[in-house]
Amino acid sequence: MTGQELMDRLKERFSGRILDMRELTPARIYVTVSPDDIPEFAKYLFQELGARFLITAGADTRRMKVPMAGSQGLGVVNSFVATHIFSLDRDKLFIALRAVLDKDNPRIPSITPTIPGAGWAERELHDVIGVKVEGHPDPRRLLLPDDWPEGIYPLRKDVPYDIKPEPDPSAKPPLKEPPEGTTVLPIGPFYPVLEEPAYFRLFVDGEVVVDCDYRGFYNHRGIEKLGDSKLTYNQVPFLAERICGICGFIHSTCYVEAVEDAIGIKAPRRAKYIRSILLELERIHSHLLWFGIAGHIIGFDTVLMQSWRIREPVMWLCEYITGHRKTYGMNLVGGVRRDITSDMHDRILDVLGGVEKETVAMVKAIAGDTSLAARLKGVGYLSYEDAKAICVVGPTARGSGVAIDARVDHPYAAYDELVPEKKVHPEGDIWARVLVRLEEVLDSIRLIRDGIAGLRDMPEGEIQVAIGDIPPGLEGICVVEAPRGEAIHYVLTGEDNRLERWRVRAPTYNNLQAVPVMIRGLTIADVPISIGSYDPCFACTERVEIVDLKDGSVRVMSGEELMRFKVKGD
Amino acid sequence: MGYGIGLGALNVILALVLGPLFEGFTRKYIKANIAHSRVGPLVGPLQPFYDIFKLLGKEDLEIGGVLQKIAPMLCMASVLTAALLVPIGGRPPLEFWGDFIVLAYFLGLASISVILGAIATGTSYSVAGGTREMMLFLLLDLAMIVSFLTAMVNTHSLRISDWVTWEGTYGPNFSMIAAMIAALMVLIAQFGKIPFDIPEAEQEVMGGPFVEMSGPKLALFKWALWAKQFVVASLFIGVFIPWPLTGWLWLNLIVNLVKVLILFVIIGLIEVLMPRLRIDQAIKFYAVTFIIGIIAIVMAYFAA
Repeated sequence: MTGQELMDRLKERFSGRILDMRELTPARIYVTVSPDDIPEFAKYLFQELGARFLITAGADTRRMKVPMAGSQGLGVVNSFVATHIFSLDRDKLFIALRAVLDKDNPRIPSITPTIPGAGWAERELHDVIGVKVEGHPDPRRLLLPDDWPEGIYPLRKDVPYDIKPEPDPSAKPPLKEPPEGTTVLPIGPFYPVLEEPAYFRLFVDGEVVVDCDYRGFYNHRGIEKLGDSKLTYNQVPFLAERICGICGFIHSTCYVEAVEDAIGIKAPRRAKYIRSILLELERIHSHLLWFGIAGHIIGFDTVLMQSWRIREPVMWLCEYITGHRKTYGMNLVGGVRRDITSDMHDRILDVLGGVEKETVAMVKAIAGDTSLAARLKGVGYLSYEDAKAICVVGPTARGSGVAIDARVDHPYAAYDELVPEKKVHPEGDIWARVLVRLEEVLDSIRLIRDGIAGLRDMPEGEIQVAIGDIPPGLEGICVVEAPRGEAIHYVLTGEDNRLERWRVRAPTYNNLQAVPVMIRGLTIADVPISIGSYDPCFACTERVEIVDLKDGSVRVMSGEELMRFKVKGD
Repeated sequence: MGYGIGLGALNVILALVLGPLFEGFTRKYIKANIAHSRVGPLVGPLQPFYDIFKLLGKEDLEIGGVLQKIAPMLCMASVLTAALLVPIGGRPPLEFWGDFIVLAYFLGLASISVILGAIATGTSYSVAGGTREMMLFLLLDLAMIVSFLTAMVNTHSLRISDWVTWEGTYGPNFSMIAAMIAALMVLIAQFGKIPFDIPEAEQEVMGGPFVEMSGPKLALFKWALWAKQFVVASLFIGVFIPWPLTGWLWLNLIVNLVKVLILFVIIGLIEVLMPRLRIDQAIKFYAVTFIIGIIAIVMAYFAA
């Protein structure tokens, strides 16, 4: 189905109820409808067309002076908009389903009853823009701290980026009541297995987990607000790169390609190849990191030490290419900042050869290890249907048989020429996710080799195009397949050469919502590896917001508890 | 009498010194150097002593009252008492009819004191760890007694030194080999290392029974459990692999210590080549051990 065919089908089905519809850049369809029609459209897209829900991007457009590109037909919209972004992976299409909301009393009916995976996105829409989501099954606060005052919605344009409300130590997180007959086993707020802030409350009956509750977002850094209030277009990539400590380059690529999509320019071929090469290097070191962590979680430290030893030369290679092990600082809108010159190619291929040899040895060892298989097979099961409903992404989805890979489905960087293989395993357990990742590492090595071969045929030095001033009102979407799954960035350009709205969604945001399904009925022993099996990155997920209160009351309380214990000890 | 006291003191000192030393040896040379490709502790096998001394100087937090305070001492005391009943140099310092039963009780008491300490603190992770320890202990103790009872059937004696003499002179027969396999499987679990560190499982229950133990209490627990490893390994060597019985105490002692060290190395290798088992997998493992133990007893009964 092409974009035109899709628009025809929508017109045929919902004639008269579509307020505005257009295909901006190829394969990105923007549909504007009335808020009350949203659930019906979402249902049609999700259930009948089989579209996948990606994210909701709310925006405060009350001060915009130009129409938004995606809904030009409506003229200047001085109000709030909510945009549900869907993707039709088989047809390589994005559909942005948009509603313009009431200016004084923004409200929208919830789509979560139809699409469970939209639960968090809609809770966040309420938290940050202040849109009332009607009919949401679980409308608790998602990402604002517990003592954040009601009525201040940080991503509204009249809220300054450096607002600091008074802390209130007595605020309590809105926690779920445990089911009857269960005890609560807290993991967190500091999640000790991954040394990251996340708070799982397991409701256990003996050793068996009945249900769980999650409270996260302890690490808000206000990145989105900073991006659309303080920084200029070419400063944001450096901020975007700091969203994640492992896959930073994913986010900077995703951002610059979204802006390039909005203004309709293309980075030079060579720059696109360099992006792909670095993205694949990141995938290799991220997956190797994950094998180590997964090994550590189940007490197999030999895997941890060996896979991190194999990983280290990749980090050195990144430093050699970009000047830094991790935060490359390579991306700009319109290209990259450094070339991979021909004298570097041999060393890159050398390192890859070594990594490949050792990875193959490790793959053999891991895939043939019966004690590992005994621990991982049939554990952390996520069915194909659940994976579809919760809209999980990346190896978690591919391990449940959902054949999505943004590199193939929505090619960006140079993936239209360097075509990756989709690695899919239908079993749905942790073992399947392990196999997906093992195979992807080897595929990434192949892609980098092809990429280097591609660079040899291109003239050196053509790595940037100038972008000039960017007009307001443009919109762009880009997805990038991070090692954990796809990340999505949506941009809306604004006045003064700055962003009006920048929406980021990291892959863990979706995958984390699958945890309750995954761990129900498991024993406590299997919970850490199940949570670990989709390679969570809490810090990445928690990029939104202007808050630096760091913690809710939970950590404060446990601090007091510690003090009390200490006093007793004395 | 003086000889017995001297031998007893020797056993206690050996358990206190060689337990941590052998642990340090496997930690440095097997785990770090061979399995993990890393340098490991710079002081080599002495690292556990550094750990103990560092912990002894740390703050001693307490939330569980008297029970938590005495649990580590109880653990250490029972391990050291057990050391008096074990034939490290070929002969146990204390021997009497039924000493094996007393030994089993003292080894059990070491596990029970871990559980007591955990339950005394009452926090969720230590209780979860304590519960796991309890489940494992009940099964493990049974499996251990069953695996050693073959020696009783063979010798018609409940005295450990008789078992050693019998095995050294006549053994091993098929029943003793089967029993040895069962006892070795029990021994791996008694070491409390991966794949059987289920009660402590740092990544699941954050150290379980020891999560609330700090400073001297933790040091005492660690030391006692290292000493316990040495004691159970010595018992295994004494009963199932006592050869050569030379008649010279010192020669016996040195040969036995080498054998114990080899046992530590084997268990260290298992530790680095396995992930941690889940508790249901561990229970299945014990069930197999138990069955092998029973088969060994039946074999011994009909052979004799």
